[in-house]
Amino acid sequence: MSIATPFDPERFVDEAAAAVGLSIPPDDRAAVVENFGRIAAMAQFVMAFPVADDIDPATVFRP
Amino acid sequence: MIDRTALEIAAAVRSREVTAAGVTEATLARIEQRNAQYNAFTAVTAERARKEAAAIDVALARGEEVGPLAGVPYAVKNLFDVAGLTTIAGSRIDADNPPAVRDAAAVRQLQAAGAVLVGALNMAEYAYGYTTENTHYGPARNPHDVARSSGGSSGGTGGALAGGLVPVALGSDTNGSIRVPASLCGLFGLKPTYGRLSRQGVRLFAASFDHVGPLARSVPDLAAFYDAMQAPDSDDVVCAVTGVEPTLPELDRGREGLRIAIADDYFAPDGVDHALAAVEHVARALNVAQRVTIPEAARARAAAIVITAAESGNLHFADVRKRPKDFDPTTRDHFLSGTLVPANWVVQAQRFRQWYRVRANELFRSFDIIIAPATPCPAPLIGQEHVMTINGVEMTARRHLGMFTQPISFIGLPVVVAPIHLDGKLPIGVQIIAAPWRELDALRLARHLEHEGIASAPLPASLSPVR
Repeated sequence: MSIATPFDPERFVDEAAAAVGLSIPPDDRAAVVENFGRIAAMAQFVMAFPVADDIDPATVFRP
Repeated sequence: MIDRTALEIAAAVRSREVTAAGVTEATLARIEQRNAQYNAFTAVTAERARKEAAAIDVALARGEEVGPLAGVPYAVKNLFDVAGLTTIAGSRIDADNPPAVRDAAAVRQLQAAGAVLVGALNMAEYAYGYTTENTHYGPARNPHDVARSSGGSSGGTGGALAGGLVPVALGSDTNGSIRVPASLCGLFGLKPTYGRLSRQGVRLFAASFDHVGPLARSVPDLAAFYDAMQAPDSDDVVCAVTGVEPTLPELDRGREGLRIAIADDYFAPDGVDHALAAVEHVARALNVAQRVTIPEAARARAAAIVITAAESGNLHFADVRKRPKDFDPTTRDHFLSGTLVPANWVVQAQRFRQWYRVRANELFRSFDIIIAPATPCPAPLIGQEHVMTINGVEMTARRHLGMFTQPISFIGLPVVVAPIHLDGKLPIGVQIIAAPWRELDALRLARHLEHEGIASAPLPASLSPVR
């Protein structure tokens, strides 16, 4: 399972924000949780799709 | 004169029927007269414009060569660096930065071609947002109905063109920010192949998908500006070209040899009747019945959202920590939450992107052009949550105007938006999508549709042409 089910965006936002040193203004917290929930739903949809191990990430770096 | 096309203006300047200075003064007067209605310009570069125009007129008087865009006024979204002007990118935060010391690569190219920069244009903060309801600088208004949005994030670009303030203007497109304003304002817009045009000196949003490009009221103008902007540039690590491929000389070759299909499935859902009517209008005119499915387009959009959130959150991390309240309330939650996206999701999304690129590009073995709607609806009202029901799911225009553009820019395909005016309705665009590096195919088909009267970008009826 690539994303916990059911995913708890509230808990994730609080813990991840603490981990990266981000202090979310209290009156913005609800909107951030809602927005992060939407991103997580998109990620869940992406993570559910099997991609073979030999497929490179699409980012390219040319030295 | 200033309601003529860019190429007509350039020809008139070159033949000395008019002076570049005269065109510039008329344009500055037009901006002064109309901008308050549309809130398109955030800065007018009158002094610079007068200098650039005077230099053209002096060169012509001396019998010197001038560029193909000599004396043509244009403006840029305010995320392009303009020497002497602070690049605000629609934000209050960047307004604290010192003025840019050098023009962006695109602006340098256009100056070399003789074009005259008249100002910088309103946009959604840091290019996040499809409606340019910018809290700091006010909403960008749609000249077809000023109560409506001109789209986003290049909203001022759309308003400046549809309102007749300039014949051509530049925007940027990460998930649809050229194509959405083109659709909502009834304009031609070109999002080139990812890596075609240099983004040097342009405020990035999500680097994996950031593009720059022109919008215009005619296809030859669009092609002329695109051609002038082409140049290899090692200062943009993404810029992948080694040469220039001019499109203007080939533009009138018509549709001959172009294998065309209409995107179905994800691109033809229930609940977007106006958008699909525009696509069908084009399909009928071209006598194309062939349908094609771009596989996993919905997932492509989802992956674009994940990557965009992470890259833009990272880009603005220092400011969201330090001064979150200085972000526009309409973007703040996005940038804050973007800083929290796990790497595992982002890398998977980038690997899916590679998978999807291969599958989508396979389709171009059978077709040269895929036609799809540009936006699910025409311009929504400013300040209101316009709710659409698409395949039975309620979606807001603010969040979903890019639903048809995102799966395409996700893999950097070149697209021209062709504006369609159905009887008595607001304009709406269709995407003419070509294979990577085949901008010419999309421009040729757009030109064909323009020539046949199927696609057009007239000024709104309320603006009587001033000649």
